[in-house]
Amino acid sequence: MSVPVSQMWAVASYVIRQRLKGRKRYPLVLMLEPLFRCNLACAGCGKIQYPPQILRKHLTVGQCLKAVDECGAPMVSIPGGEPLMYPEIGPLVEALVARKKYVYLCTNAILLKERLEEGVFRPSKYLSFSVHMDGLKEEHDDAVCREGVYDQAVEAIREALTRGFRVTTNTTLFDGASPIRMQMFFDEMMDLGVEGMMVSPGYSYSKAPDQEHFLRRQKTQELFRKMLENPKRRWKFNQSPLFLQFLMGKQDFECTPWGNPTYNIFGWQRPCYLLQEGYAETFEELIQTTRWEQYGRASGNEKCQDCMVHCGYEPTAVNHTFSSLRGLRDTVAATLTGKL
Amino acid sequence: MSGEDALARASESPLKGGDAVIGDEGPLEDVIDRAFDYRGDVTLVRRDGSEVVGYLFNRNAEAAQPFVQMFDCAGDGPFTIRYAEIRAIRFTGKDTAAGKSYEAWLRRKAEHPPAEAASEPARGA
Repeated sequence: MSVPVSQMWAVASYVIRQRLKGRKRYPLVLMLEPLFRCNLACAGCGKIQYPPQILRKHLTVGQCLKAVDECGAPMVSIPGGEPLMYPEIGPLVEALVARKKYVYLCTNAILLKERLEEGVFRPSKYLSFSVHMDGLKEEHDDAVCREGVYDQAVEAIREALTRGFRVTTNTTLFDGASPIRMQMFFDEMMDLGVEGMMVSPGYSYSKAPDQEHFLRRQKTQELFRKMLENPKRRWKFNQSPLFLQFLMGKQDFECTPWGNPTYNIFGWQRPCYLLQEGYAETFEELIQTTRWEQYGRASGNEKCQDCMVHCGYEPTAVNHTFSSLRGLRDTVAATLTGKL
Repeated sequence: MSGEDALARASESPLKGGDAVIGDEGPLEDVIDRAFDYRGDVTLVRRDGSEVVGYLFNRNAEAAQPFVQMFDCAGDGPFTIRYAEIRAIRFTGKDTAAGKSYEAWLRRKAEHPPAEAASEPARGA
């Protein structure tokens, strides 16, 4: 685990407060998508296929902050689209940091160096750049369908680290990923000096350009078992060790679709970050009127059967840590020993 | 929804930009669901004959008065239109999810050395 103690404490105390209040469904991370516009068109992405007038739209900072306040989650992830193309990204991040929200700005880093040189951001323990890295140079450039992006991202990571920013990476894995090459990638990211890494299998977006390489559940478990069976102590993962164990088939979790609620120009997305089954006007409406029983593996919903993505299962893993002695014991053991 | 009020079910083949869906063969909800899933603009025809052209991003069949929501071609909106007001929906815009960007990338990579394959067009950039 590489999450700073202050962040761990903020999340732990938040979860305990929710449980003491008896809240059945509470969010952990707000997925805030201020725009869908992107400067890449990745093979496995189903987020950006919209008509031009939709791609030109973006949320105002006021709309973003209203969503943040409504939701109340202690962490805010800003994906997209490419958030560094959002014209108000500086003021938005500043306002979130002022609210003491832990911000993960998810970026492909093509524009990161430029934005840093422009002075758009200031280093803060609340702000982390979560750079999209789908493996070593060859794999990453292939996943984003453009040569040279890996090198650009590495350069931007170095620049951000030099300037004192927190930097993590986020990696989506697809069918055909090599466990050995991924282990080399983990080494390379640690050598680079990133704070931690996030890994997750990709979700089989029906709108993604490449429909052939999404991982099925069994293959996901095989891949993660091979990749993480004997993790090096120097590999730091910016996510729950129980979630990684789940990906390896060592934990059996059910999805928590309300754990990472999504807000974008259309409203509050039902039921989760990955599926688009409609939109609610308010967070309360999302929580109260979504038919949650229709989602997750146990529901039998076909769209959920192979999904093992972090946005549904990481909240489950965190809840598991705080809801049972076994969960707490497993988390502490994995954190202290580095064994998964 | 009576048969008379209903819209035609879209053909089972994938929708293409310009395909028209209008008529009286299927339930309104089915056509609205297809329009909701479609990643291109549609033309929604109201019972009074007026039209809204744009992106249909939401629908709620379980509301007391079921409705759809759209942004028009200029990006203005959202406009909320009740199911009861809808006479027809035509799939008039290009399906942006039907692109061949991945195949194009594979082809370009196979045909050209990496340095030449460097400029993939971005979405909305």
